[in-house]
Amino acid sequence: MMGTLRASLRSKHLPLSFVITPRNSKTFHVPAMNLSAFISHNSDAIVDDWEVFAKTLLPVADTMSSLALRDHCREILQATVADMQTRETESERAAKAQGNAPQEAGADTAAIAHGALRHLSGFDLVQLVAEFRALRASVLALWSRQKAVGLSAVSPSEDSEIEQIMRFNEAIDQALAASIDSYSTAVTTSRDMFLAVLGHDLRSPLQAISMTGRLLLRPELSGEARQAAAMRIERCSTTMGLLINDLLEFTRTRLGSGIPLARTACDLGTICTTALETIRAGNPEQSFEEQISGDLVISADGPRLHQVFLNLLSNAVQHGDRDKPISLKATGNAHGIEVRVQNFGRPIAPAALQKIFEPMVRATSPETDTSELSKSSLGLGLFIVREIVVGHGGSVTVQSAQDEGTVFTIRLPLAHEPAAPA
Amino acid sequence: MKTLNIMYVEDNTELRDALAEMLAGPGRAVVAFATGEAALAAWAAGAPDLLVTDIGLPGMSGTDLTRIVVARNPAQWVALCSGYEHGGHVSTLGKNVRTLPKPFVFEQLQALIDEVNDALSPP
Repeated sequence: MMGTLRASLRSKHLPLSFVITPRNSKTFHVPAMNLSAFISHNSDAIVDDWEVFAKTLLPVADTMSSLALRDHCREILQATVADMQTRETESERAAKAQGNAPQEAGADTAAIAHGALRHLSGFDLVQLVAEFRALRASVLALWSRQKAVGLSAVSPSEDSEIEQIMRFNEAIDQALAASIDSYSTAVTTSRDMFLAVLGHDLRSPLQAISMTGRLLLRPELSGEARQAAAMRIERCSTTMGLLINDLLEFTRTRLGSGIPLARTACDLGTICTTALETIRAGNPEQSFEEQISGDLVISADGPRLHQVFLNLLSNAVQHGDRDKPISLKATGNAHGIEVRVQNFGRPIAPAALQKIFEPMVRATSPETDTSELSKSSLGLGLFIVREIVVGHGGSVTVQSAQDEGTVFTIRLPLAHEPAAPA
Repeated sequence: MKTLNIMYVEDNTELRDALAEMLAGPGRAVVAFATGEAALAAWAAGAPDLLVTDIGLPGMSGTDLTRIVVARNPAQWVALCSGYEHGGHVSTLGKNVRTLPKPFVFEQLQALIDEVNDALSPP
């Protein structure tokens, strides 16, 4: 066998091991190595195996870089090895006395972080469990392959293979339990926050409608006050309607079906104008500028694009300066259609800009102060905008600066390619 | 009859306008604020008979505001409005702290106003 032999003294707990590098083959560390040593010496090969599997799991995994995925997996493996070694020591101890040694704390940190982050990346529980199953399978398959070629013999002084595998399984189970636990906590937190914000965003206008309805019952109310009250009811209803639409779409995308699009030939100019008129009616004190030019006929889902512009315009009203106009500019040419919605006001912080299209309920991380988030809106509107635009094969970008204000730019292709499964 | 001074804190403009209009009437004086900070400054200058505040506010929350004012005056009447069930948690804030579900009907607020009026009027 061609190979290099190198003595390794990485850990005083491990037996002398050797690196055998067959030509055109992965490096495996053998022989006379127990399972925990095998794992720590072959973590690259294990992580490779596991990464291939994790990537097949789902598209949401693309929100996390390959590097971050590998880091997690490596940390979990390291924690598993540490746990196995603790269990080895414990079993030695237990042989002498039937004492219950306390479990080392801290080994689960990686698994806990992994669970919370998987929630953040949109993994469901089944996928989270599948990852750990894959990790277990990778390790055991690689190990048994070594055994099969007779490279790794267990020395007589060591525990039986079964005992080692049992310890490995226990360690993996413990990591899995820790991951699931933190995943569940993340689910509870984001659900609570979702409800809290929903309470605020939906109940406030509802409460306003209820109060205003009662106010209208007062016979002494002036005509002018009646007029104002009726307009308030209309504005609040529009706000609630938008939010409910977004919630429905959000639930749809959460269920994995995506937003269904029914394309017909429609004039984007008309859609923009209609959306602008709706928002203008609700905000009579706000000034708007509209600029529409070129050929804006496109094969698209008109009502969905209407929702896109309603969301963008209402976002602009909500965050823009009241005394500066909000502008809507739509231009069409041979390549496609571009729509820009611009408002002035305090620029959005670069960090917030990166996450602006993420629904708040997903952009929750364990480090985030929930009390801070519960004060903002659900943040579903811009997420829905992106989903619909991307579904049309288009793109949406945002720029924010003091002088130019905040500009959302939507680009839609004229001839649409069927959207690749995201 | 003594005028009941009410301070109302709500960040939603529509609701603030609607409720302030509803509350205004004979025997009641209402001042409304959009933030807990503004309300606290006004409270320090002159405490109302009843503070009605939303829990979810930008910046200082309604709960924080309540804690601060109750710490300074344990007898302060407060109505916390929330779409959430808070259970027994609120009763620990102060003896005169109540919750109003959101949305509440006006009768629920009226009942609380009556309770405050009864408590404040000399027997």
